[in-house]
Amino acid sequence: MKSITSQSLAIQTSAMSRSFGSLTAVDHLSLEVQSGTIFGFLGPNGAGKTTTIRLLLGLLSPSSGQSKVLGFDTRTQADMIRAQTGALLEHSGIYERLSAEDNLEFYGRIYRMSASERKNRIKELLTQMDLWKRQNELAGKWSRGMKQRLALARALLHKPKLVFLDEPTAGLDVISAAEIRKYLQIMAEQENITVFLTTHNMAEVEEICSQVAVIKNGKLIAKGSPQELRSRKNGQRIVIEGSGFSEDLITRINQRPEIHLIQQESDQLVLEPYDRSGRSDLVSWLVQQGVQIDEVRHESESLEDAFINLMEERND
Amino acid sequence: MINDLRTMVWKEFKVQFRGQTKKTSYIRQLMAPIVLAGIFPITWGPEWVNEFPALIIAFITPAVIIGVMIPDSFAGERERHTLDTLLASRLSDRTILFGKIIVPLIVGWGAALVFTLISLVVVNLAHSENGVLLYTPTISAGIIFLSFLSASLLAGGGILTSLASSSTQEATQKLLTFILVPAMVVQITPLLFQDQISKTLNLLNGNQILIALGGILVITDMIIFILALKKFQRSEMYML
Repeated sequence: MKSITSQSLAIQTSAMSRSFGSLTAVDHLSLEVQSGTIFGFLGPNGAGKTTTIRLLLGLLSPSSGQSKVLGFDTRTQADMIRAQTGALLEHSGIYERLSAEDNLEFYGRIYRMSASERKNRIKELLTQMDLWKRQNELAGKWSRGMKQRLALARALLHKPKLVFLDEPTAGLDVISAAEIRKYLQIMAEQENITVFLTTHNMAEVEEICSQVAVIKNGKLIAKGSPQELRSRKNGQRIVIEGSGFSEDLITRINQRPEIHLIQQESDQLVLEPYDRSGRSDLVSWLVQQGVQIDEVRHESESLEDAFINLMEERND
Repeated sequence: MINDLRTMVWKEFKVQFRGQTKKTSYIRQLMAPIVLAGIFPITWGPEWVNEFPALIIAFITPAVIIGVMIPDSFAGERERHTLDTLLASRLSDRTILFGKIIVPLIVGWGAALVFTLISLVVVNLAHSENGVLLYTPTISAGIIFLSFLSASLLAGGGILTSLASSSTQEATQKLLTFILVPAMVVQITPLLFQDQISKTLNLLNGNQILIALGGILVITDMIIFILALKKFQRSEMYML
């Protein structure tokens, strides 16, 4: 492991694995998460995302490999990790028989905040989350979106250096999800915290994550910025609108070595070349073949397409 | 550790006694000890203060209270999906475990003391012709210590069953088994070994019987608590 005490890394794992009997939930996972960033951790259901979070929180020990969070070993210094991190896990974890304020009061006491510190911070967060006026209501009577906002406030209460958020916007309506994202961005910017976020929402990842990693069956299959992921396999599509796309022409395009994928929809042809070079040659060649071209557009692959492609590749 | 325990106790009290349904449930469960504390001393007469039946209230009350509260401890948190977040906090395993035990223990034991006091008031109201009646030192010691030890036993056993259950209902059923099976054994054993038991009891006075009973409870409590400490470890909670 290189420079494991590096202050710039909030999370560093090296070949971290965790097995339950014959099932390997996390398989030689090597990750580096820079401090102060929002890191997206993606994967299909059952890929090992939640187990990874549990490993990073020291709730489980790795079967093999090493992992450090905020410079602390997850095996031997889990208490230190949990003292300096916040978590919003799969479920909100809100006590429904307690008021919103009491929910935060409890965790404020757990994190040994002084009474005045707790009072000010609870007011600050509930105001930011637009919940202050309902502070004394029982949380059990609230909507899912409100509970998630309260849970986010709880995760951020003690000003942790790192927060783990396991699908924080899952099951929320569009407006509630957008609010959570907004609060998340504000918190990350204002308080310079690192966010380790798992989500199935690719638009969310593109909007707020600076780095992402994708896992499947516990194995890391890709990492980089969302842009890098999108352009992983050049990620560009050429959309040609016009006429003259005969079957014979399609066959001949398919025979061209630079073309990876071809789709025809009435007067539109979508081509995916293997690389970015030779696009103008291709258009010239099409004109020579008698194609009447009205418009040529270059489109990027969406992150969702890139993610689906990644999953399919690994199935091949 | 002490501050963390206070925090856990603060939360447990709030969660346990908030809501009308919970309060109604406790009041319903307390009907049996209330009736016992009101009727037994009247029918027993002045001898109530120096006879062993006075200890029945001290044993039954914690069982009733703890039987309602303790199954909810871990199984309830698991059911309501709050346990994961609690485990991801900085609290130590021991703090969480003892925080969960302390509240039912205090409430159960406290209620036992209150009800034995009520029964003392009742016996005085009904039978105090020859002056104020007070529990004998042996009965008082029995009420204070044995009710605490039996409450600890139930709390420890309840925590173990709650840890091993996925819902409060399942935990309640397991706790009932935990209580009923030994109770049946205690009832059947004297029938099988009547002679030996009566011979042994004849050799002992009241104090010695209480000390022997206390000793057995202390050892059993220790075993139960060690088991609970071993059973409640974060890493064990996430085994598939």
